[in-house]
Amino acid sequence: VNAIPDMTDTPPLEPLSSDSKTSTSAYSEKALRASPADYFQLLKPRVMSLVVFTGLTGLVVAPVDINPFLAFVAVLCIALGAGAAGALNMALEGETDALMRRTRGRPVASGRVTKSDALGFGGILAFLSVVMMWLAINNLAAGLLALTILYYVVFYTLILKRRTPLNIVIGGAAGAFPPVIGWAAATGQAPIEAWLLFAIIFLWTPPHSWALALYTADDYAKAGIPMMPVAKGAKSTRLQILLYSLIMVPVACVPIAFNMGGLPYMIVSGIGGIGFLAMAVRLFMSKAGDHPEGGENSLYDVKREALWARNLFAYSILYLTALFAALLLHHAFTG
Amino acid sequence: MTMTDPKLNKPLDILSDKAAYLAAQKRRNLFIALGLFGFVVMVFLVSIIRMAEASRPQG
Repeated sequence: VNAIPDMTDTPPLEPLSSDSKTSTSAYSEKALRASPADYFQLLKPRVMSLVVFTGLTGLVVAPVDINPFLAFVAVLCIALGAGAAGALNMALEGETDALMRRTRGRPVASGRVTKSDALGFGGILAFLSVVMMWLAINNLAAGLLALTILYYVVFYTLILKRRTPLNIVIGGAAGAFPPVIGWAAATGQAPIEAWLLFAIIFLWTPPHSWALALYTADDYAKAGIPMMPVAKGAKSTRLQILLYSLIMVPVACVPIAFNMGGLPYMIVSGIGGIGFLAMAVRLFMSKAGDHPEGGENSLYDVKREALWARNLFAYSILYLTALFAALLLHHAFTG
Repeated sequence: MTMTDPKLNKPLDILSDKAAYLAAQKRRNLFIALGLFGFVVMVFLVSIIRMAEASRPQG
C-alpha cells in the first residue's frame, strides 16, 4: 500500500553479523522469543499512520455521509491492508534489509521473526482486510485495496525495485491509492477529485524518496538497489527532484479549483508549495549526495553537505501532512 | 540444568530458555485470540448495521 520508504524507521544499531543473513530462514533463538511488538513492527506502523491519514482524508472529503462505524471499519481495513503489504515486503526483502543500516533492525532482517512467519502473517492480514472491506463496505473499495497490496508487493517489491531507477516513480502509485480507497469506501465511486489526491501523492513520492536516497545512497548501492542517486548520480537526482517538484506543487493547488479545501488548503498549498520549491532549488544548487555517506545513526543525522537533502526530506513529510490536514479539517468542520 | 553452548562458549540454561520461549508463545497466542475476537465482533456489528440499513424503508 505504500512505496514511501519507512522514513521514520530508526532501528537499534547492531553490528552486522554474518548470521543476520541466515537468521531469516530458520527458527533462531530470537525468533522463538518473538513478541507481539515484533509482529506489530512488521506492519510498518509509521508508514501505516500516513496511509491511514490520507485514506481517512479521502473518506471525509467524499461528499457522502457514511455510518461512523462503517467508516471506522473502512479505515481499519486500509490500515491492515497497508500493514499486510509492509509485512510481505519485509518478508521478501529480509536479506536486503539486513545489508542496510536504515533497515537492518527490522524484525525479519534481524532474525526476530522468520521469513515464513512474516509471509503468513502478511498474507492472512491482506486476505482479511480485503474480505472485510468487501463484506462491510463495497466491491470497488475492496478491489482497489487488493490491487494496491498486489501492486506494492508484486509489482514494486518483486519486479521494479531491483530493476530500474524509476522504481519509486512507478511504485509510488501504491502509496497514492489510500485516498482513492477512502473515497470509494464512502461513495462506491472513484471520481476525478479522488484521483487528484492520488496524483498529489504520486508526484510527491519521487522528490521525497530521492531526497532520502541522496544521503543513504551507499546503503542502497551495497544492497544492489538502483535508486536514482546510485544509478544516475547525485547531480541528475537533484535535477529530477527539482523537476518533479515543479510539477507536483501546481498539481497540489488544483483541488482549490474543485472547491475541495477552502481557505486553509489555499494557504497551505500556496505557501507550503513555495517553500517546497525554494528547498528543491536550494538542494539543486547544493552538493548533497556527491559524497554518499551511507546513513548515520538516525535518518536526520547527516553530514553538512547533505543537509539540504535531509531538510527537503523532512519538509516533504510536513508538507504532505499539512495539505491533507487542511482538506480533512475543512471538510470535517464544513461538511 | 546448565550446559555450555559450544559456539558462543557461554552457559546455556535450557530450562529458563524453554520457559522464556513458552512465555513468548503464550503472549503471541493471546494477541491472536484477541485479534480473532475483535474480528468476530466487527463482523457481527457490520452485519447488524447492514441488516438495519436494508430493512429501512426506501426513499
